[in-house]
Amino acid sequence: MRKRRIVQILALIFLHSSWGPQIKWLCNPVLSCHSCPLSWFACPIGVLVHYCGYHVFPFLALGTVLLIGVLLGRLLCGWMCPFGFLQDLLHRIPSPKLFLPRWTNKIKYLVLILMVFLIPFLLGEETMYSFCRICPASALQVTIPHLITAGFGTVTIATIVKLAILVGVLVLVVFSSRAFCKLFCPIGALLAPLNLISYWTVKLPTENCISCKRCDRACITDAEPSSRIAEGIPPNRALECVVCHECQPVCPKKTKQETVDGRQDTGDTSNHPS
Amino acid sequence: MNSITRRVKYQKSLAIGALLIAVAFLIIGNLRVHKVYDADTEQFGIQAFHKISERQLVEDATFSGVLRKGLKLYSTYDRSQAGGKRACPT
Repeated sequence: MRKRRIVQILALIFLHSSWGPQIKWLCNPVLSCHSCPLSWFACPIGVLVHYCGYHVFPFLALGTVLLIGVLLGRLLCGWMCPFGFLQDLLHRIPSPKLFLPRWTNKIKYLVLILMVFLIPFLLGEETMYSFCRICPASALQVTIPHLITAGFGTVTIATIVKLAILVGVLVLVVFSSRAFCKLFCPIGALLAPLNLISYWTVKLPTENCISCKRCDRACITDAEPSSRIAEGIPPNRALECVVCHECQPVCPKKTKQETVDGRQDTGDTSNHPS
Repeated sequence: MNSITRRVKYQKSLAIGALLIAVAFLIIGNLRVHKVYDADTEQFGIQAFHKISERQLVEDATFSGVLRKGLKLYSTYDRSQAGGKRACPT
């Protein structure tokens, strides 16, 4: 979808630029490391890791994530996340495409609980086993530029592990669309339950669904939107949906009148919160 | 259709509840202050400290500007100097 690509490019440029405001007290729920000097916002995962290490409840960080999550669900994952954008681009490389087993989607909740909350709480914020130490976005935005400027003499085992994970993730996403979002992203794990109640909904016709499964094939996270459309549920009411809206333009029945939230539609499939 | 309406109502009430919790968290977060001690400033058993807002603590968390030792939080940089912030260790 061209509109989404434009928003992704604009978000990448505008949220990572030296001339922008430094609003590092505000968490933006996308995977972008706040240690990058160009980053405007704080990474909620980095902040949560530190707060767990401090043994302080992160009211501001959690409040921000909760507010954005309730209003938009995982919309920012699909439209603004720079690491999601990179995954989208890499997946366009011609290669055999893989469908990962459903159970692998649960790994990210384990990553969130262990590497963001529990281990930093028990071992402190600077533990080698927190998510920040293996974060591929951090490797891309901070570790590699740091190696280039400070020289390769600063390489440690931790650096090699971090870079190896980055390479592994980048290779994996070529074969499986948004594999990092589905498998490991702790921000995705935080926002996923909020997808089920968010005010933002993806509108698709339900009454005249012919089960052509084109929406399933267009779905970038293999979240099977057709199964929910068949039940009259908005397709974004799923944990894995990144609200990319890619299922909308491919629907052959999108100009029909009845929509999944039961209201009359004029044929316009533009996105709006309900 | 009835079950869908019930489900939508249930989702809406959950969303309102979550929104209220988010707003409460944001209000508490904006009002809260944290005591952060200066490292190496103990004199006669008394340590100097700063009271910083939650916003400042979030900002400090982005570059490990604060560390926990025991039950207290300590600054890792000189707050009186503008360029005293250290780089994030990750």
